Amino acid sequence: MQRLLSRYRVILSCGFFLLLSLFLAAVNTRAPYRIDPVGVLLLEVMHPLQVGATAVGQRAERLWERYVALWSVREQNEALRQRLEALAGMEQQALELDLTNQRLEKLLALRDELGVTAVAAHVVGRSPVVWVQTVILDKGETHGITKGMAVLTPEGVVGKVLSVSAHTARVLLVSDPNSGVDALVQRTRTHGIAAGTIEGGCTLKYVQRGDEVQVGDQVVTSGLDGTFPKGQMIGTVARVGTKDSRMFQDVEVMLSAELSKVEEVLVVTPGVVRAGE
Amino acid sequence: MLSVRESDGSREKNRWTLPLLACSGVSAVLLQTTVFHYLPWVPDLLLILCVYLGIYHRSAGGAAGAFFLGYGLDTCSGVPVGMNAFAMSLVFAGVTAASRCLWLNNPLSVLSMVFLAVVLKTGAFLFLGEFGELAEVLQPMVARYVMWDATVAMVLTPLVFALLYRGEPFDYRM
Repeated sequence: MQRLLSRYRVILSCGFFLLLSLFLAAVNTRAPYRIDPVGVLLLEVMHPLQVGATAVGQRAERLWERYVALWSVREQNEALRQRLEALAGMEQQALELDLTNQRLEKLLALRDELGVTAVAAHVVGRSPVVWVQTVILDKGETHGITKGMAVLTPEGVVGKVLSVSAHTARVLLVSDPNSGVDALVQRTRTHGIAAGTIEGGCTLKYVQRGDEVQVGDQVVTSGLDGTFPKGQMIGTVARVGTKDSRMFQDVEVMLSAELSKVEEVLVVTPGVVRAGE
Repeated sequence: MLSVRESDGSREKNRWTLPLLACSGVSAVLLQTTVFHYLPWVPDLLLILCVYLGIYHRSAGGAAGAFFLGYGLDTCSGVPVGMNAFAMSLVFAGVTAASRCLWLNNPLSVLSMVFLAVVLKTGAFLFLGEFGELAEVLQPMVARYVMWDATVAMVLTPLVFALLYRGEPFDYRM
């Protein structure tokens, strides 16, 4: 008997525990209250362990949540930063467009004011050497531009077309030493030639010693050279000097157009604008 | 000399097997009732432990261990006492019977056994649920979660077995 029990002890113990658990289940599923005296003790033993494990779990969860939250915040921050950069770029573009629009409106107003035909052009290049003051425009012969035409901005005279190709034009700026524009001192109608200097400035040449010129006087085109329309602003007298041995006064003019920053210009083409054109 | 040392070592390890398994059981109950509830799914470590007992501890002690694992779960989970105990005892009996006939010391067999154990445990629950008028509650839950339960258990099995091997005198590797 003992040998038999020993041989089948696993099967027997399995059967015993199955029956025991079935009995417990049967009793507990039908009983109005839970019959589990050992379980109560077990719960009491497990209680401190469960409290500790729950605390550890809660801390781990909090840590995880914070980590995940930080992770998402970082991603959100990155996305917002990119959005902000994009918006800043768009704002810059809008501002640039607005400024361009304002400049073009001024050009248009100038053309209407002059009552001549004109071609608006963009400055696309500048002289690579400092002693030659020229700019290159994006319009040329195909747009009706020819050599010798006047180039203006609403602020004032820019220069004269020096050479043209099919789609570009080179403009000699009024600040170049080789340029010359027939000019008037607006207040006194004193005549002179506005010419560039080596330093990139402008002087009013051939103003006689007796002619009245003051600092602050405005210098405009006379219209006598047949190139520039009459009355276009060249600049303001910045300094007047007289050397005893010379015939003419030394008049320095500050150009009204900022030639180093000019972006859009109006090339005056021969012809008169008709109303509504 | 070497063989004597080895047998001493095995004896030393044998002495630690019961405390190790008891600690594992308590830890599994503790984890399943506390920490694992922060996870999206509560893995059934006790079932894996029961399969382990069925494969490597085919003895009356193993049967008792399986019963107490289920009993502990009954106590902590609030289901009628005896349901998990019965299910675990049945799983132990089934795995023991299978391991007597089949070679279960390879990963694929063990994983298959874990899968079958989940199915068996679920079946036992449904069987007892019929008697305890719990079938209406259990059936939809079981049908929905049994595959997911089995998958999670199968994924965790190599890890649990690898931890338990460390305290054993034998040297099986999955």
